[in-house]
Parts: sequence; C-alpha cells; structure tokens
Amino acid sequence: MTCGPSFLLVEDSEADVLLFRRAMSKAGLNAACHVAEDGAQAVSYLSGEPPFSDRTRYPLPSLVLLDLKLPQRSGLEILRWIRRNPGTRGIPVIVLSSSSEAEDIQRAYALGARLYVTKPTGSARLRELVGAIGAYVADPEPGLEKALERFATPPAQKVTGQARP
Amino acid sequence: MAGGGSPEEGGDGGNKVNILIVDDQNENLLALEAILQDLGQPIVKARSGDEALRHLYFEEYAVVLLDVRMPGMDGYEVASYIRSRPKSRHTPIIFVTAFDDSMERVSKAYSIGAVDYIQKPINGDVLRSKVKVFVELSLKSKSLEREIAERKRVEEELRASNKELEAFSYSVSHDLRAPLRALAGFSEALLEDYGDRLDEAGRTFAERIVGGAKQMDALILDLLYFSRLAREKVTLEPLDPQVAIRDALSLLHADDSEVRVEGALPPVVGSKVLVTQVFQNLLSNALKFVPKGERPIVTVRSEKDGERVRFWVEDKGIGIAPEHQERIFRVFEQLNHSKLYPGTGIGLAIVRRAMERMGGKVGLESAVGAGSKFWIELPPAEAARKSGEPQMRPRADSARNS
Repeated sequence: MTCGPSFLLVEDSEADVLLFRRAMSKAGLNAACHVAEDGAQAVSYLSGEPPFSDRTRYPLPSLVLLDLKLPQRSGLEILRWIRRNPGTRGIPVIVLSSSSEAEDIQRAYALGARLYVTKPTGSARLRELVGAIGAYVADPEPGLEKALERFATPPAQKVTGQARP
Repeated sequence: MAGGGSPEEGGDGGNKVNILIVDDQNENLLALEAILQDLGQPIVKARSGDEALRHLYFEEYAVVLLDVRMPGMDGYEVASYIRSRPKSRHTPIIFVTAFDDSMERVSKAYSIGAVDYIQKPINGDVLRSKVKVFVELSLKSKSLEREIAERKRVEEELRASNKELEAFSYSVSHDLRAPLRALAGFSEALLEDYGDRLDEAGRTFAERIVGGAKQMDALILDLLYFSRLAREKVTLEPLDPQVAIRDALSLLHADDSEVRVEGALPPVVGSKVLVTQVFQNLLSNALKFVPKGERPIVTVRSEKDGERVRFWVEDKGIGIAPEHQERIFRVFEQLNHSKLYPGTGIGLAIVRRAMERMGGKVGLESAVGAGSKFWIELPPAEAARKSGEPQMRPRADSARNS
C-alpha cells in the first residue's frame, strides 16, 4: 500500500468530523484523513506511538488541522508540542476553530500556526474549504497561504467583523 | 448616641479627625481642650512624650499640639521621633512654647519639623484658627482618599466584569456555535442527499431548519463583534475613504444596483477596519431597504467644514419615520418585517459603537417614502498632520480608555 498525501484532523466533535468527511467525499478528495479525537491521541499519532506505530497505516501527515477547544490538553498546547518536537516541527498546522476572538487568533499565530481558519457554517462553504485543503495536500507548490486565502483570518488583525453575505 | 457629645466616640468615622494635645500639666491640657472643643473633633490628651508617641503609633492625627518643655523627653525629642516614623512623618506639629522662649528655640522647633508655634499665654481664638486649618486640611485629604478608594473599587469592578464578559464571549464563540454548525450542516446534508426522497413539505421543513440555524449564527457573530468592539484596542490613522468604500462594496452583493461616489472624498483619521465596517453596514442597509422589485440607487458624498468631514450615504429607499430614528441604533432593533428585509438588527448599533470608538459621530435625515440619508463624521487627516500630535492624541486616548 503506497503512502499518498494525508492529513490529520484533530477534532473532538463527532458532528464536525462527520460533516468534514462528508464534505471530503462531496469535494472528491482522495487524500487520507486521519482523525485524533483529543490532544493526547494527536500526540500519540504524531509520535508514532501505539496504536499508531504502523507508519504505513498511520503515516506522518503533511498537514495538521487543529481544533482549539479540546478536552484536557487544549489545541494551543498541542500546537506548542508540534512546534517543539523535532519530528513534527516541519508539519504546517492550520487552526480550525469556532472562535473568531482576537485573543485566540493572536495566540495561535504566536505559537506557530501557519493559518487560522474559522469553521464555516453551512455545507457549501465547508465543501469549498475542504476542496482547497485537498488541492493543497495534492500539490503544495502554490503555498498554503495562497491555497486558503479566502478562508484564513490573517494575524494581527484588530477588531474585525465577519463578511456579511 | 445621637447628640451624646463625647467627641472621642465620634462614630461615623468619615467626617472626624483626631487632635492630639501633649503637655505634662493637667491644667494646661484642660485649657487647650476647652479652647479646641468648638471644632467638634475628637481630642486626645497625652501627659508625656511617651504617651503621645504611643497614640501616634495607633491612630492618625490631623495635628499635634506639643508642649516644648516637658520632663523626661522634651518637645523637640518627641517631634523628631514623630518625624522619623513613616505613619506620622507628615503629621503637622504645632509647638506650644513659653513666653520667654528665645527666637533660637523657635527656629530649632521649625528645623525639627514644626509647621507652626504658639506662645503662652495662649490666645484661644488664634489657636483655634490655627488648628482649624489643619483639621480642614485633614478632612479634605480624607475625603480625597475616600474618593480615590471608591474610584479604585469601581475600576476593579469594571475590570472584573470585563473579564467576565470576555469569558462569556469565549464560551459563546466556542461552545454556542458548535451545535449550530451541526444543525445547519446536517439539515443541509439532509436536503442535498435525501431531498429527492422528501415531499414538498418535508423539504420546506428542512429549509426552515437551515435558515433558522444560519440566522442564529449570524446573530451570534454580530453580537460577538458588537461586544468585541467595546473591548478591543482601536488604532487611529489617516485613511482614504475611497479605499474603505471599495473594500466595503466588494463584500456586498451590489451587482444589480447603482452606487455613485460624488467627487473626491477627503482623507480622514480613523481605523481602517472600522471605517470599512461602518461603510459596509450603511451601504448594505441602503441597498437593502428599497421597495420590492426596485433597483437600489445609492449616493456617497462628503462635506468638509474644517474640523470635521461628514460623509453622506443616501438612498431612495423606504425611509424611516422620525419617531424611530433613535431606536434603530440600538441592538436588536428591526423596524421592518424580517421576511421582507432579513438581517440581525445589530448593524446600526455596530455603526454607532464603531463611530464612538473613533471619536466620531453618526446620524440621519429621513422620512417615510423619501429615502434615508445617513451621515458619519470624522476628523480630516490633514488637520491632524498640520498641527501634529496634539490634535490626534486626545481622541486616540479616549478611544483606548473606553
């Protein structure tokens, strides 16, 4: 079994995981998506500890999508761990959070998140986001910032509103 | 007790200050007490330097009347102890000296830290007025202290409630939106994946769920933004309103409408993000509130009167009756049926708060059926540049404090 591009979704909400997987299949995304249900599982997965020691089945992802509000170890703690651990330091992390609070955004970028994306409400926009992530995982050449330009909240943005449709 | 009269027990604590009189002769103490009684403040008597210092150790005094000649520790010695202690370092001392005391002794008293002196035999009126000055001074500084303490308490409360508000926003952001995402996401999934197996009514029901969830999400986002607007720092800088309007329009669906910008709009001082947001909300309203089926026509123009630049956003829409013109700036106010004109009812509240944070103003002229003319005012950019920093400072500061 060849090891194609894959990414790790760190998300404790079953509903969000289900919607994400559905959006993946709707967007025709082929990349393998592994899910960690909490911070501890994410660390085990990324360290290749049991039950994730088989790197063929559980490959090191080329991208981590990280929720901030997780049980026990918070998303920010996991982010710090990923950035400090030599084996994972090179993997880009996208924070995928409900929050559009400036504090969350600033802290995420300060700890080394590549991008901060607010979770979309509604299937159409989620599908677009998943599509853009898939396109990046398949071909990282244009760069992550470019690929997710339409979805990310840039750092150091002060008081901001949501684009109102 | 009321009318009881014992000054030492002066109970209310707020409007009383203590006077300390120090003399080794009991009859002198009684004489001083008789003179000062009229001031209505508690008087504490000490028969020696030791006793005086003990009192000063435990209590605050508005003023100390200190006899110079006392057996054991004399007045000078007591005064230097009083000065050396942090608690009484600033307590005023009036020396009571004998008639035959030389100028040399008087000047020594001053050098140790006396603020005044009075000679025996004592003139009651003179002593009373001298002591009164210090009593009043002490009362005033006490009331100032109270005021400062009160202000500190209010600030502390404000800080605490701000913290609470932040925690509340945090939990709304993270926890309240998650179930809504599930509601909107799965009802849409239901429509997309199983819509063909539902009949007309079934599809309508699912659409209502989607609509409700999305409306609630929009409300939550607007409310969060509104509360964030009060807390976060606002940076004021010169900006080009044309750019703000262009950015605002790019976020609106204005393809089937006409937005005219008349003349060149002068640069102003404000926050780029907030000015864009304000134009976005005003333009969105101007484009939205037109009679059904009519094509919106919106004009943006500016007026300048030296100190302020006023921008007008004018539409030919349905207009607003004068009696509702104040109400529309409040949170959750919607004048029109949300079926005809969907929205959250927070847009104009956001406009007003954003303008306040930038030290600007907002207002309108309108009548039912005659369209609405909303205006916002901001300081011009070149005025700030010409007179330099001082012009901008107060506004930037006031914004930071709020």
